[in-house]
Amino acid sequence: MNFLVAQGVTKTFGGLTAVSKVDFVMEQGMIAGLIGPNGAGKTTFFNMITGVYSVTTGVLTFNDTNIGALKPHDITALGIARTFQNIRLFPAMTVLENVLVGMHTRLHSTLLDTLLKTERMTKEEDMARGKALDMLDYVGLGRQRADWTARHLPYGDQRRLEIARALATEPKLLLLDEPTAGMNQAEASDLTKFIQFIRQDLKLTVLLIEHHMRVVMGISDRVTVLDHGEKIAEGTPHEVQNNQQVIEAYLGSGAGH
Amino acid sequence: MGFLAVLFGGWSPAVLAVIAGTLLGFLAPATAGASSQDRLTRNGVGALIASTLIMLGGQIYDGGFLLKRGLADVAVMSTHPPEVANTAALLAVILGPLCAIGMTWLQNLRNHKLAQRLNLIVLVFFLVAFPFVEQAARLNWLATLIFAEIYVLLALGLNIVVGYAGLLDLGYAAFFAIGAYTTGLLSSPTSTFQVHVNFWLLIWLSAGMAAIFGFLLGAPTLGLRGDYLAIVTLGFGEIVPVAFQQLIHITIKEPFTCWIIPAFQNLFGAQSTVQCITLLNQYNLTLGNKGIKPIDPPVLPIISPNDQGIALIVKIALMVIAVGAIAYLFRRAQVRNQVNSKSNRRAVIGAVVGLVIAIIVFVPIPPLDANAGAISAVANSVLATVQPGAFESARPISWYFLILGLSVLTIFLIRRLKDSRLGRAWMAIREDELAANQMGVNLVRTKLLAFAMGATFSGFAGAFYGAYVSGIFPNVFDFSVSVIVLSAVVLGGLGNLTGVIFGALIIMINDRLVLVQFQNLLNGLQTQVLLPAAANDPALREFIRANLDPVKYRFLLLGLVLVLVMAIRPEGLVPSRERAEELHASEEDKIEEIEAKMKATPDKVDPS
Repeated sequence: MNFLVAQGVTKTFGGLTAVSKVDFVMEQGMIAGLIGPNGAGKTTFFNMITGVYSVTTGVLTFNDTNIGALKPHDITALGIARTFQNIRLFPAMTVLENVLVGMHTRLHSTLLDTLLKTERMTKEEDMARGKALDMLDYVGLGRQRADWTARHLPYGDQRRLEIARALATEPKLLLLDEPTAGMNQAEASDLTKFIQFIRQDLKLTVLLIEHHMRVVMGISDRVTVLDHGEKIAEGTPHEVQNNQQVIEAYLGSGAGH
Repeated sequence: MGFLAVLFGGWSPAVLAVIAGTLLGFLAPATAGASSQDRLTRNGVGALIASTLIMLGGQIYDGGFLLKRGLADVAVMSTHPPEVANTAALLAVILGPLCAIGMTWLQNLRNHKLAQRLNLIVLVFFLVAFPFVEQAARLNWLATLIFAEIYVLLALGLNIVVGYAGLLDLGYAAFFAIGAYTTGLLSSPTSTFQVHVNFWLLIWLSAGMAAIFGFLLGAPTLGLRGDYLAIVTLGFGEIVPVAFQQLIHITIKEPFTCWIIPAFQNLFGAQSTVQCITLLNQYNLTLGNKGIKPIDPPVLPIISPNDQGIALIVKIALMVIAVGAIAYLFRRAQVRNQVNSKSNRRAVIGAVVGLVIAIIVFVPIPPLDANAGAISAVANSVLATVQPGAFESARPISWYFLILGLSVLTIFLIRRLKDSRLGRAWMAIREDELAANQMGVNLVRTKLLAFAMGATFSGFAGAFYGAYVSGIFPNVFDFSVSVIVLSAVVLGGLGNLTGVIFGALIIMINDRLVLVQFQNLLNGLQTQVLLPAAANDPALREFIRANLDPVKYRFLLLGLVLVLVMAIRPEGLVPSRERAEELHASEEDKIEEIEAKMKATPDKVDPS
């Protein structure tokens, strides 16, 4: 059983090749890191996995289902969730509503159920609210702030809410796009611990893009390096750190900090 | 309000003062942090001033100024004897402050749940009592108010599309037209179908038809956003009325016999031998600009106005049994499902109360014997006022309650939608389409449902409009309808039900009632004062005649109001929480500060 497999995945925009012939395999339960200089194609790769972009050539499968041409919401239903590089919450909705939107694919009440307020719908809605509140506790936001408007949360908590929203989709694979961006050392290490905790607790597989080398080297089982859309190295954090090509790609951009 | 009293005169000062006082008492506490005693005094005094102004307005109208100048004929309400004005003035000054004090006291109640419930009761009382008071006071407002409520319904529907899902729709009148034409085609003697579908069924059919067209319009717009979407919907809104205008000689030819086979035969040089079969020839579906009229009014299914005696009693008994059975079944179903018993009791009480009101209002009780003395005379006059009877154009009360019922149903359903999986998906799309999609929201389905649900409620409005006006014409559903509805939604406050309702009422009442009455007044002034005064100057006379017509400037006024509101209060009169915050992002810190304070001292800080 192959969890996530990319074979020769390529994405071109007109004449520009953003991701070029990347082979990438993930086994269930691992934490994989994806690094590379700016513009290396990391986020484009994420966007292909989550369906924002279709794959130009190559094959992308998740649990043996070809996801290369599926719509984002179908991919979410299969069990892939993500967070965004620059936070994309639903800013005017409440904290609770944000999490509830995440549950969208796991809820089944139809239009008719809603209009008639059937028992099925009320039960499901109560269940969903309970679960969403639990989820807020789980990520450490606390249910007291459930009625806050999402944009009023402090920055770090917005990141946590984004993770809560992603977890609410009940994913098997969680994609985190620079989860510690803009955080200080202490916050980043808190979040790192939390990622390790949810991996254990929810039996998640995690793929993360990260610029904080300390974070990515600390928690990844395997690190993949992209540069100019191509995979230039892959291996354990230790191997990657000593790879000559990687050092060159990062030279001057603070690889060692 | 004082200005309104100047315009309408008669009993209007008393009614206006009551409305003004109640609104003042209801709204003012929310904007002040003073102690409850202070508020009581301040609102009382405020209402007294307002009522006095209103009273003075009424006095100007009837009491002296206009009557003395022989201008009584300028206005609709000139039928009132002068004494009415004095009584109305007295009532205004007494009732206005009383209402304000009462409402302020209500808002000051410690028990918020009780206060809310009492507010609701006051609201229901006003809504139910208003048409009867209006009739008794001979204000002639009801017909316009019914139109305003049609627009309330439209605005509520459009609010789903624009306010919740964030899809700008400039062709909303199209669905209104489709609803109205569905009703017209299926229940008019002049329609080509020659069927008479019962209104109570038809209203659902019209809504369904509008919803189907909502889907059809939605489909080609799915890939579009913002401006592009607006242009497509604009086009649709223009196409539909023109289509209804032009569907008067539809000819449908069967393609095989008329084109395909002859074409083949011609290809091989043979003469065409098949007879062309015409399926429809010059078929007139919509009667074009002549419109469809008359349209059947609704008929209450069980009771007709002509029932009397035993037949009436039997029918009422049947109705009671039917409603009782429904309530009982409802209750049993809920008990079995272990939903809390309180709501069951409420449902049953609601059913019974609704039935009693329905019987009193709609079942014609025969007048009492006139010879029985004063009591029966009073009873008869009460009956005559209270009972609206059948749905006739001359008796607006039944129509008022019908559209009120439809509005309540609509609000009820929309509130359910808003707090559901679907409602959240709509708002998520509005906030961030990409993120919503990534969280599993199916964009295609969700957007189509927004268009369809929005269209559904305008289908209701269309069906009601057709039956109420008893005639539909294609030019009624032009772009201005879409514009007015959209203005109502934006003016009132995007995404907020209360705001949208107020927006529609304010625009329509000003447009159809105040402006028209103002024109009547100016007409009187023109013919009686200005034109005689300018008798020697033909150019001036012509100028006055051509320009002293406020109704001409209705869109100018509407535009001005919109510009002002958008400049001063861009989130609308009654904004939704989200919009208010969005548009005052610079005040975010302030809001945060208030929230922090609220957490610290939850009782003392008034978030305003």
